[in-house]
Amino acid sequence: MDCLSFRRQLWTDPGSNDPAMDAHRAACGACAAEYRRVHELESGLRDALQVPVPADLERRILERVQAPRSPNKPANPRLALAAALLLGVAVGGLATWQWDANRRAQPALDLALLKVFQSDDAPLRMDATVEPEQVQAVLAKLGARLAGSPGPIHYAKSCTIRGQDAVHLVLGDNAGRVTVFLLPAERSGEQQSLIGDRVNGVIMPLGRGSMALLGASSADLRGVAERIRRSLVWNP
Amino acid sequence: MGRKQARFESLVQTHATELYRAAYWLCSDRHQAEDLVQETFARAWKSLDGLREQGAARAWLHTILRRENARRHERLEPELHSLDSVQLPAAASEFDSRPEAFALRQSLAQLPEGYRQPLITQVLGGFSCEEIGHMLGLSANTVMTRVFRARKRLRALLDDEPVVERDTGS
Repeated sequence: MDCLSFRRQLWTDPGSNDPAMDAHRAACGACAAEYRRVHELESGLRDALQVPVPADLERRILERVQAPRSPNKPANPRLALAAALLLGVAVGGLATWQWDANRRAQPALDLALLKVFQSDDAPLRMDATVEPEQVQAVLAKLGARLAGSPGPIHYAKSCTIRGQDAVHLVLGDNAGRVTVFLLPAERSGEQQSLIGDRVNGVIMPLGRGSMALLGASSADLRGVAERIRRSLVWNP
Repeated sequence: MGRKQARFESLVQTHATELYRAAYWLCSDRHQAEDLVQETFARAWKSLDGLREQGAARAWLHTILRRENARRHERLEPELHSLDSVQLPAAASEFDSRPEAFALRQSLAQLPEGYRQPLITQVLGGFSCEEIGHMLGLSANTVMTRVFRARKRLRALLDDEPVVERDTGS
């Protein structure tokens, strides 16, 4: 292999495992340097192209594919009894399916949160704080209270997310403002990243429901989440 | 769980992440990317019996993804005409925020679409030029030329050098 062939193949397919390329690289210092240069570009490209993947993507794909399917009627008369027994289960299933369908008719939770976040009219002044009694009154509507302090709270209001009662708080510090939504009616199995233009966020399980935190990339989302977890108590 | 269902779930677990990333770089929008991936798997479910070799699943799914994206473009054609250019989110906060990654995404955005897609498909999926050609309806030689030129252009853009077109000879 000559230098021209080596470089042509290198720029066309840097991942090639061609032994002839290895042999040429070992023998030619200039091409070895070119190899390092191209692989540096390739590695940078791979990093630049990485995109966070939604945490529950697989579940949503499987749900979507399975949703349109309906159970077949048993063709064999001897299965009639089993079918009758299954009817009760099916009725329950139908109720669940209808509940799910209603939920699907609502915008996705992350989109709903981003919409509220982007139309956020909370005060930008981070030196103003809400009185603890006011915060407790807002939380009481959700059946929650603060048993400790999560730090200064700059905004606390009830709100509605996807037709469900929620609480909208703004906390934060020098690292940046963090908008928090307490969502007792939104069940969340696992932590999910929430990404929008110029905003990072996370939705995580909290008590019987979920909590979402949104802020600029510099904001200390995890720190605020931890402080809320430590201080928030759900009433029995 | 039926055999088809188990086979399908295995496909989703193995390929969903990679397909999502490929979808994202096709449409530059994470919500559309998820829709695209869901459409892709919905179609894959319907055609699963036609997939004989498990080893061919990855390229098969990528081909479906691209067809679904093409269908989406057909549906949205009037709206897409109003766009001045493809908007690649070079500065979006969800990415690697190092200056060199930003510069790379900016340079990628300047590549012609015909160069960018084969390159991204190769970098993200590690496909051969022949496989990419099959997905994009191009010959392997054309793919080789395009990824060669795409890398050269990227390098020139990053080094702030004039772009010089040279064929791979293929």
